[in-house]
Amino acid sequence: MRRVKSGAALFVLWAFQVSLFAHLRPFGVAPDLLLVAALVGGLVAGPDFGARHGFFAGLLLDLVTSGPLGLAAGIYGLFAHGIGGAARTVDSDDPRVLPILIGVSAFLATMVYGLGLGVLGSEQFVDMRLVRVALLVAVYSVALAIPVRALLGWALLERHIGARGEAPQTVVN
Amino acid sequence: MAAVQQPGRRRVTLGLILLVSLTLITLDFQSFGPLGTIQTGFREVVAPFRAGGERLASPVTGLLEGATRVDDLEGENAELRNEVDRLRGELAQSGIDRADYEALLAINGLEAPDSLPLLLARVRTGEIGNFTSGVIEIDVGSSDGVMRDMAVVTPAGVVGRTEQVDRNSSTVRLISSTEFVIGVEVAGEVGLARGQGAADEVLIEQGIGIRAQIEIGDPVTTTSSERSLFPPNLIIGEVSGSLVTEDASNQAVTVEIAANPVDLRFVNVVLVDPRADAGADEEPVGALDETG
Repeated sequence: MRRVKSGAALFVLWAFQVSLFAHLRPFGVAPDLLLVAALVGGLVAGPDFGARHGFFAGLLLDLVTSGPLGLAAGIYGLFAHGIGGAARTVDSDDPRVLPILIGVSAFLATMVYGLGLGVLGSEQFVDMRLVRVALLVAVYSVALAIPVRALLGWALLERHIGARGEAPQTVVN
Repeated sequence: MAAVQQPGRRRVTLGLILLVSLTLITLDFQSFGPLGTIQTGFREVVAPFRAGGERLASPVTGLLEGATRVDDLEGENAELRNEVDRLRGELAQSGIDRADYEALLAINGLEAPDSLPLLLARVRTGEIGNFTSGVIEIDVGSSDGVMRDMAVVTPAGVVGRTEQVDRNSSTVRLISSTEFVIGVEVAGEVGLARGQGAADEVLIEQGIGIRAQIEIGDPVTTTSSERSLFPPNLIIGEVSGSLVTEDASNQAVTVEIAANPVDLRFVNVVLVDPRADAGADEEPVGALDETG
């Protein structure tokens, strides 16, 4: 059930990415909803599921862009895995953790994607514009992490009510 | 936040994901057929979403643009009025020239050469992602007779070539892209030009010998060589400078592009089969794509 719900959530975010966010580009840079989905997936469900979730999020993007198929999939999977692991080493109750982790990861993932394109033959993306794009994507990602977390929380977390009315437990595996 | 998972299992998952990604990238570079078909299918699915998104976003984007660009738009409006006046004059003059030309053909018993079949296409707005510079998308595809590597032009000259051709849409690699290579002809010399990333120039890197007499302002067109994918005599631009290369074997000639590939709204696809006349035994030079 969780796979179906997370697939549905990714599809909704993908639909927003290819429709609204293909046109809504503040300061000339589009928010990357699927990157946010990958990173939040890693935070919510841990490195293992997060890596798979990130891979499919990146693959959905690869399928509709002119970049090499598999590049975003690999990078989003890698960073979703990394952020899932990093989230365990910090105080997850601190409200600053989520925005910092998302912002830094989004910046680095965008930089790595641009550099990857450069290595694969599209050198025109490797210039100062890449840093600007990565910074703006990071800022947008922090803002979008809240609604995306709400959506993925619904998709990835299953709540079980205890038989004797104990507090709900969160199960991710 | 997340449940505890075995470190070994995590590493295996990550390793598999990276392996699959590298395999996909490799297959993509090898132009593995089924992957292209899947991508084409997805782009077809996306097309209505993008059109819907444009309608949804247009009030917001229009508001933002209106608020931030009022002064620019007023200036642009004045410039466009002047441009319209100038073009009206040129149109009247070209009508007179055309009448003279047809009269001369009739006097000499000659026929006018066939004009190229052109297909009008609208440039779609709304790039997906932030790494699509160097390409635009148009709303015509294989169902309209478009094929890969066809020339894409405006009345001013060449702006690019078709790259990915889907059923109802195509991507166009712009002439300014560093991945765009085209066979050109200037002052009787044939060379190979490449986009420079900048919107307004291409560089003829090969083929122009140091003895060639190249003058600033010389027109540069597509070549009539049989190896060219593009029809001959399409305007590329005019020479804006030249330098002898470091090894003193060639001249590197910069060419100012005639057609501005920025902010395009409509373009024409030249519906001439790019491989119909190309030599079968030779590698084509016009619109050569180094990335495959």
